[in-house]
Amino acid sequence: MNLNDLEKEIEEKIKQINTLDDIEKIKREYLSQNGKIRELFKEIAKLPLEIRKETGIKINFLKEKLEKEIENKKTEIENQKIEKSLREEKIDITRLIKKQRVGHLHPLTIELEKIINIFNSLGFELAQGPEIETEWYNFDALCIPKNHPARDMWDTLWLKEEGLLLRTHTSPVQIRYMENNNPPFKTIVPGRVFRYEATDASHEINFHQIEGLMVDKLVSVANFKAIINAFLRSFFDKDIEIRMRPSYFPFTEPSFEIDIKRKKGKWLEIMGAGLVHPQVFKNAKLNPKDWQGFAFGMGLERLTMIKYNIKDIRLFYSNDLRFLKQF
Amino acid sequence: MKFSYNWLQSFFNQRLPQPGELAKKLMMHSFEVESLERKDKDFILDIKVLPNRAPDCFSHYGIAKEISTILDLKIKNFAKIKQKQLLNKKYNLKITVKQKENCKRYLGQSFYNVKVEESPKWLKERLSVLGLQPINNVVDLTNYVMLEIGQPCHAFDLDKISLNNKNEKEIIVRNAKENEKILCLDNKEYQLNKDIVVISDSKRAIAIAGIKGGLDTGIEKNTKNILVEFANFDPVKIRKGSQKLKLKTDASIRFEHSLSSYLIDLARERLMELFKKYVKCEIGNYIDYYPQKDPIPKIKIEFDYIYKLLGIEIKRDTIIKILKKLGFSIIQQSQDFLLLEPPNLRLDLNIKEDIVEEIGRIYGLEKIEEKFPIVCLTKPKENEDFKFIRKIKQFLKEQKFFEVYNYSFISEEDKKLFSLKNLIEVRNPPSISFKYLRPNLILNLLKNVKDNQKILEFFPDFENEIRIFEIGNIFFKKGKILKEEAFLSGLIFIKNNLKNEIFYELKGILNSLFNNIFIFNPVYSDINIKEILTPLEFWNIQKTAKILIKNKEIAILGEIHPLILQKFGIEGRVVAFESQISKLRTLSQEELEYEPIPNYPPILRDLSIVVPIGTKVVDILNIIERVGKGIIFDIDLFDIFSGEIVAKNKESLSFHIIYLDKNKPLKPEIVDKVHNEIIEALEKNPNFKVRK
Repeated sequence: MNLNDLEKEIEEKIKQINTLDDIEKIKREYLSQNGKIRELFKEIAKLPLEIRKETGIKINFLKEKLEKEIENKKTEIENQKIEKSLREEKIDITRLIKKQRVGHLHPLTIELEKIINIFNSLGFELAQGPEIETEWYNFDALCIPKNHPARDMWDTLWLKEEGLLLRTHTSPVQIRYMENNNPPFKTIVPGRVFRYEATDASHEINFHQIEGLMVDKLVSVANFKAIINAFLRSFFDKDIEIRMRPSYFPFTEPSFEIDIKRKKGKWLEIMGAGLVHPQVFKNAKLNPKDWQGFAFGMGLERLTMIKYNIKDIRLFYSNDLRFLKQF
Repeated sequence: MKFSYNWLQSFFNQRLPQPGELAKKLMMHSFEVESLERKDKDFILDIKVLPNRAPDCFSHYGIAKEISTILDLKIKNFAKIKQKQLLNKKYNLKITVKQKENCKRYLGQSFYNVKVEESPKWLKERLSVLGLQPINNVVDLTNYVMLEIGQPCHAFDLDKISLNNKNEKEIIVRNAKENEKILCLDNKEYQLNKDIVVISDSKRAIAIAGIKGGLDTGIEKNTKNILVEFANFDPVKIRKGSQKLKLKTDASIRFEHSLSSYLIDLARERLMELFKKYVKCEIGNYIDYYPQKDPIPKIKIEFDYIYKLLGIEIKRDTIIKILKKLGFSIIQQSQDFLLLEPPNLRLDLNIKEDIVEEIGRIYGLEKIEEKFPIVCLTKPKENEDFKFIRKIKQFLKEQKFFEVYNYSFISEEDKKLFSLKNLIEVRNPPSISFKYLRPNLILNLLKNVKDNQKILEFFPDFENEIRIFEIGNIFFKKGKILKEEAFLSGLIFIKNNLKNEIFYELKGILNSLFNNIFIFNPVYSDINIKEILTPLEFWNIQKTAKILIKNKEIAILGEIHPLILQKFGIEGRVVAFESQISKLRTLSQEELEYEPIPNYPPILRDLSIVVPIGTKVVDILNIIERVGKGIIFDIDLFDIFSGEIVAKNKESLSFHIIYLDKNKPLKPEIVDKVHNEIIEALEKNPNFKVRK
C-alpha cells in the first residue's frame, strides 16, 4: 500500500475517534503485531536495496506520528470524561453533614500556659508549692502578724488542725523557694489559692494566682516596670495602657498596684507588687544587705475574665460544657 | 472610709482641684479612691486608706496633709490654747491603769458647767453627710474631732463617775471580770470576759475601752460636768474585744490599726478650741497618764540606696523637699546620706525602704522609666512536673476530653451520702458545701456529669457521650498526717446503654496515654479491696481493674457502681479512672530509643476460637505469644460474639495475628506451621475450640 494513502487513511480515522474503545480499535488495526504498519515493515525486505532505508525511516516516522496522535486523543477524551464527571459531582458547600468532636482544655489552663511561656522567655523558672500551708509561711514569714488588721486583707480558711490553713495567696512559695535556692533567681509560681468568701460573680472560694519573684544584686522598680510591662504587652496587646500606683503589702516595700486600661475602658486593677521587704529576706535566711528584688502576684481568673470579657468568675468552676467548648 | 470634700477644702486657703481631679491625684500618689458621690452641696470620697496608713490617715487632717504634700499646697494650722486658761477645778482626777500593756496613754480633760444643747447647723451637716447621727453639741464635737484628727474621744458625765475613798474621780483601765456585764449607749447589754478591757470607776465598768461607752455615764440634756477621754489602747486587745463582741465602731476600727500616742495632744487642743467656740462651758483641769513617750526612730538613708531601689536618679534637692513636706526632720545631712526622724503621727516609717517608698510615690511612680535589668543570661530550667502534666492534658484533649476545674471542696452531704472517711475538715467553712477538702476527683466529676447530662441535646456531635478529666490536688488524712497529692482523673459517660462496654474504650485511651508519656506494658488485674482512695462502693467490682506497671499499682479503671450513679441522679453509664501524678511521673521513662522500621512485609492470619464465657483473653494471648515467640509482631482482638451460632454459655473471640520476622522475610510455610502449632496448643484446653 502506498504510504501516503495510509497516512491519509489514519488521519481520517483519528478524526473520528470518540471513545477510548475507538482508540483501542485503531491501535489493533495499525499498531498491533498484525497491524497494518507491522505489515509495511515486513514488506520492506521486498523493496530495492537503495530505497529500503529511506522507506524504513518513513514508516517509523508514520508510526511515531500515529502513536503521538493517539496519545493526544486519549488525553483529550480522558480530560473530557473527568470534566464531565466533575460537572455532575458538584456539591453543596453550605452543608455540614458530620461535625467533628474535639476536646477542649480549660480556659485557665490555656491562659496560664501563655503566661508561663512569656515569663519563660524572659528567663523565669517555674516553681510550685503546697496548697495546705502553715501559718508561718502564709503569714508570719511574710510579716503579716497575728491579730493585725493587715491580715484582714486575706480572709482565711483554716483547717481543724491548729496552725494549718489553705494558702490565701501564692506568696508563701516565695519563702519556700528562697529557702531552697541560691540567688540570683527569677521564678514564676502559679497555683490555687483559697479565701473565706461567699461566692458571687467576682468572688470565689478558690481561684488561681501567679506569683513572680526576681532577686539579684541590683533589681529596681525600673526593672520591675520593664519586665511587667513587657509581659502585659505580650499577654494583652502591645498598645495597652499600664499604670503603677502606690499600695501596701506587709512583705514588700515599696509596694505598688498595677492597673491596665483596655481600649476605651475603665482602669482595672490586675496585680499587686513591690520590692521584697528586707525582713522577708531575713525570714528566708538570706541577707538583705546582699540581695534585692521584686515580687508580684496576679489573679489568673481575673486576667482571663478581662481578656475574654467574662462577667462571672463562677463560670470557671461550673464546668458547663457550653462554656468550656468556647475555648 | 468616707471623707467630705468640703471638709478637706477647709484646710486650705487655695481652691482644691475638682473632686474627680483630686481623686486621681490621690490615686496616683496615696490611696485608691473607690467612689466619688455627690451629697447635697458636698462630695463624698470613699478612700481606701491602706492599712499601714490608718494611724495618720483615718482622718480628714491626715488626708489633707497628703493633699498638701502631693499638690504642694500650704495647710492651715490649728489654733493653740494657752495653758493658763486651764484653771478651773471642781474635782480631783485620777487615772489608774491596772495592766500597763492595755493602755499607753490616758488623758482625761474636764469641762465644767457645760450647757448641753443641739449642735449648730454646720456641725450637724458635717456629721450627717458622713453618716453619723447628730446627738448633742458635746457628743457631736467629740465625734467631729475623731473624724478630723483621727483620735477617738469619749465624753463621760463626770458627776456620774463615782468618787473613790480618797474623794477623787478615779478612772480605772482594767481587764473586765469574767461575765461582767455592761449596758452601753446603744441600749444593749454586753457580757464581757477578761480578754476585754474596760474603763471603770471605783465601783463599776463605765465603758468598753476603745469600743463603746456605757449608758449610765453618757451625756444627757442636764449633764453639767464632763470628762473627755483621749486614750491610746493596745490595738490587739481592742481588735480581739471587738471581734469577740461582734461590735465594730468608728473608735475600735481606729484603735485596732494602732494610733500614735502623740495624736492625743493634737486632738485635745482641737477639742478645746472647738468647745471654746461652740459650747458654753469652762475648760477644767486634766490628767495625763503617760508613763513613757513612744520613741521616734532615726533612719539613715543613703542617696545611692534610693537610686538602687527605684532605678531612677532623683535630684537631692527634690528628695529633701519631698521629705520636708512629708514632715520629716533632717537631723544630719551629708554628701552621701540623710539622717531622718519621721513625723511622730506616722507609725509606718521605720526602715530605709519605707523612706524610698515615700520618695517614689510623691515624686511619681509614673516618672520611673522602664529599664531592663542587667543580669546573666541563663536558660530557665524546665519544670519537669509541669511539662509532664501539660503532656497528659494535651493527650486527653486529643482524645476528645474536656478539661474541667472543680472546687477543692466537698459538702457535708457528700460525706454522709458516700460515707467518706479520713477527710480533712475546714474549721470555718463559709457554707456546708465547702466543709471538707476533696478526697478524690471523681466525686466532683460525677457532679459535672449530672449537671451536663441535661444539655447533651445541644450537641448532637457528642453522640450522647461526655468525656471529662481533671488534674488537681486531693486531700486526705493518713493517721494524723495531712496528705496533699496531685491526681489525674477522668471519665466517659454515655447516656444510654446501647454502646458496647465503654470500659474497653477508656482502657484503649489509657494505654495510648501511657505510651504517650513513655510508660510501657501496663498490666490490668482484678482489684483487691485495700489500697484505693476512692471508696470501694464507688466501683462496680465486676468491671473494675487496677493497673500495674512493673508490679506497682499506678491507676484504677472501672465502671462506676449503678447505685452511686443513682445517688447522683445520673442516667446512663460511667467508666472512670484515677491515678496519682507522682506515681506516673516516676515510671515515665526519660529516654526513648527508636525501633527500626521492619524491612519485610507482615503476614496476616486470623484465628477464631470458641471459649466458655468468663475466659480471660489474657490467657489466650499468653498461649499465642508463647508459641509464636519471635515471629509475632502484634495480636489484635477484633470481634467478640455470642448467641445463636455459638453454643450456650460460650462466646467466640476472633484475633488478627500479625506475623513478622524483623530480620528476614517470612516464608508462608513457616507461618502456617506456627499457626497450626498455636491452634494445637490452644486446643489442649478441652474447653477451647478453634473454628475452622
